Amino acid sequence: MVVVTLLVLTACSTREGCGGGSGACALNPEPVTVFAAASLQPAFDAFAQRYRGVFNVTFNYAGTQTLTAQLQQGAQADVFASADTAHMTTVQSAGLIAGTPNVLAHNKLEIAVERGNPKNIHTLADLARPGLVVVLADPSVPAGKYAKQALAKAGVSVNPASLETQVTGVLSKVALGEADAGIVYVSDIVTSGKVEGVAIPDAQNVIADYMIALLQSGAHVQNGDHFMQYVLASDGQKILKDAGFEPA
Amino acid sequence: MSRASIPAPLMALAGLGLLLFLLPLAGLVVRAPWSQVGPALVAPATVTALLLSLFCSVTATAAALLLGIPLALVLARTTGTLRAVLRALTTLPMVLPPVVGGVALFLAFGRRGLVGSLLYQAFGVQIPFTTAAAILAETFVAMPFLVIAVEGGLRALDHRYEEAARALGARGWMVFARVTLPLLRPAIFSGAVLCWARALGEFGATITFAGNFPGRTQTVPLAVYIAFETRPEGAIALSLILLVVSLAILAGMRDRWLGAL
Amino acid sequence: MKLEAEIRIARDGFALDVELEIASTETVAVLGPNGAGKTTLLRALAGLIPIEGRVVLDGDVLDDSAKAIHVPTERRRVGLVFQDHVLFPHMSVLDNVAFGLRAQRRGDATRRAAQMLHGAGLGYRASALPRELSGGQAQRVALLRTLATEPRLLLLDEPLSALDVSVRAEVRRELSRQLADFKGVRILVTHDPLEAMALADRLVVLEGGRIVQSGTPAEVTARPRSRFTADLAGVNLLRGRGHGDHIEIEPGGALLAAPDAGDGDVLAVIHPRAVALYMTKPEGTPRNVWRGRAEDLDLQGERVRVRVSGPVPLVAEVTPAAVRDLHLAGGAEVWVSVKATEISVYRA
Repeated sequence: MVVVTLLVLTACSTREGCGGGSGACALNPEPVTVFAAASLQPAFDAFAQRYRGVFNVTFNYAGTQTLTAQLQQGAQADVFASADTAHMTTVQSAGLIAGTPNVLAHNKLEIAVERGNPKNIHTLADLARPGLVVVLADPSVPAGKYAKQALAKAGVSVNPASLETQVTGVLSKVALGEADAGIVYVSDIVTSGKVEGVAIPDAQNVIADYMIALLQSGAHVQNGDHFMQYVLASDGQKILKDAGFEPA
Repeated sequence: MSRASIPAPLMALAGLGLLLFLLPLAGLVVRAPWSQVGPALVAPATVTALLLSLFCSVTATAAALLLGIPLALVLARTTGTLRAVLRALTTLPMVLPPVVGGVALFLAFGRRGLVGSLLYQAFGVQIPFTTAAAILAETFVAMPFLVIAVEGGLRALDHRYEEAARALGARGWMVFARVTLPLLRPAIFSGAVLCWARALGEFGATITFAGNFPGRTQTVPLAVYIAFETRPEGAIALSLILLVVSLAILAGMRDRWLGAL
Repeated sequence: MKLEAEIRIARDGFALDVELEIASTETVAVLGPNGAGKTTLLRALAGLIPIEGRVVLDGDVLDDSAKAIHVPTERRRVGLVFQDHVLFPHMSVLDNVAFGLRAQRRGDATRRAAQMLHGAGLGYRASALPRELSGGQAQRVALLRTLATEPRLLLLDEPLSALDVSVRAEVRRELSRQLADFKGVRILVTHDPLEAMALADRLVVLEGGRIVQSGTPAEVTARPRSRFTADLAGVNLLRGRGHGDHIEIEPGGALLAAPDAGDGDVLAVIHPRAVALYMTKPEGTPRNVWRGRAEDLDLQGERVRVRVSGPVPLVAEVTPAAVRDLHLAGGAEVWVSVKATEISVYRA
């Protein structure tokens, strides 16, 4: 932690008029391209806003599986933040990572329901109720994979109305009132504000490990490194916590 | 103008145009993992997606024929500002990004939608996430093609045939069924083919409005999209199958049936 | 049966204003240059365009704009024959002819249609498609299709114009027969004076949307009211039999030398300008010379039309000076000559 803080101070002090992590830094924000899982959007956007003097970030948010495919096809980026370890491993095996991946944060699953919980959903078992419209993420998406695991742990079998390609799709369907419930990340519910969350007990829940790593293909690898350090620093981690994540 | 008399620069441009069509198809065929096509073809997921796609696209085309031919008739017989307004409305789905179309369908037919809310409250009927929703989405984006083709056919029709029929004592319905419709056959056919092809390939509106679920709403384009990120070979195999099915159907069309196409 | 029509149409910079009264005892030809409004008039009578005015057929009011009455085309029982047949291309000849009968829900539609085709000598083409027919055959089928429904008003829009000259005579003959047998009111529209005069009992000349003259062919020829009428419609039409290099005029039997007279029934057209008048018998190349009497004079600007009686009654067009020089007051005797080459002969 001390090392990281020193690094941050050193990085910052090479620029004129640069303060601590206050964001009021100098006039040359570093360009960085970040591929991040869709569920990280609220947190990373807040982060970019706070450090807009330091970084000029271009984000590409999508389902982790989509980003993985894009990187495998040769897309260029400086940093990759995934919603699970499996996809990070895939990218690593493809030789696209520089250095080693770090754990970014953790996330847990939560049931999203309409505000006021009109359908009275309190447990995973309630999702199996006939007539209920439940939307999940597709198993190819980390959130969908985890949801499947959680349901299996709870011994519940659900007939989803749709398997979305991004977890944000699940959220929006519930927020729109078209779906009665969906399984999303805690962070999604925290940052959405349009839906209510129903907690899933730890025994049935799945801890999602978010990973972050540098990419070899990036045009600004050094900036990427700085970005990663900032995000892993205490301020960055606080932003993630505020967004509903659990610190690394 | 015979082919021999086409100026060289035009020929060159035509060649480039042809390449634009040919290269992606060639890429698909040449780089395809042919050994995987066989197993992919018989995989239940593929068959399901294919059958669902065919069912939805054919039903969407049937709906488009039922609603689109009368609509084309009205369009062809209307004049002035009303016609301009109607024309804009019926071709809007063609210029609207399909995903936007999907969102709009939600706002109209979703549980909270303009019409959907009434259906839900009165009959408990929910349209999104059903096969009907997929068909509705496909009809929405594909029907304009049929309407335009049939309207074009109606305009090109010699109006004296209908006048002759009326002078012989035929009332409106007989004129339409015995004279207008048979003469419109080539336009209807080519319009239906375009409509079907568009419906078959529809993705954006379907995935937004109907969602994604194998056997119910996961048509081939959706299946390919999802497979592409996890099992590219499977996606390519599926794409090939759809390509072959489409080619077979298009090639089987006789020239004289297609008329304008 | 009578047709009384008062039709006013104004649109697209074009105006039609006519008043007609036609009995079923006569065939009327509406003659006029292109753009005169002839087709518009027909379409209005057929009910295809809205009009201002009144149309009454056989006592039934078909149109009355003052009372907002407009009987739609399909209920008017009018027959419409187009210039280029407009047979339904996707139906056989038999189905085309039977169409109107089927519209009337007649159970014997097919049988009657077959009968009609057979009667016209076209039975062997019953199952053919329109595009397999020759121009003449198609037009004849179109006529049969229209007559099958027994309309009260028969409207023919330039029925012979689209046909080859060689075929025209044959179709004209059949048309003439059908028109004579037709019990209702019949109106034929054309820009060809020969067609008009060969088929009609009365000519109505339409120019610029208005009727400029109405009368028998002879009257119109003798007293043309306009340049058009004088130039195209106001011609001499004679009937006779061709005999190779001359024609035997009927009635009367007078002989006119004419090249390419052929054999059989013919129509001969002589423009009044081609008729020369002399005080004394002329000696020269013209083969056709005879004595006649100047019966009637009609002054039209710088031209005078003289009706000359004689073995071959004709109308001549001469200058006022000529009239003075020849003392062509009513009843004066004159010598008439017509160059054989100025006589146009058509198969009747």
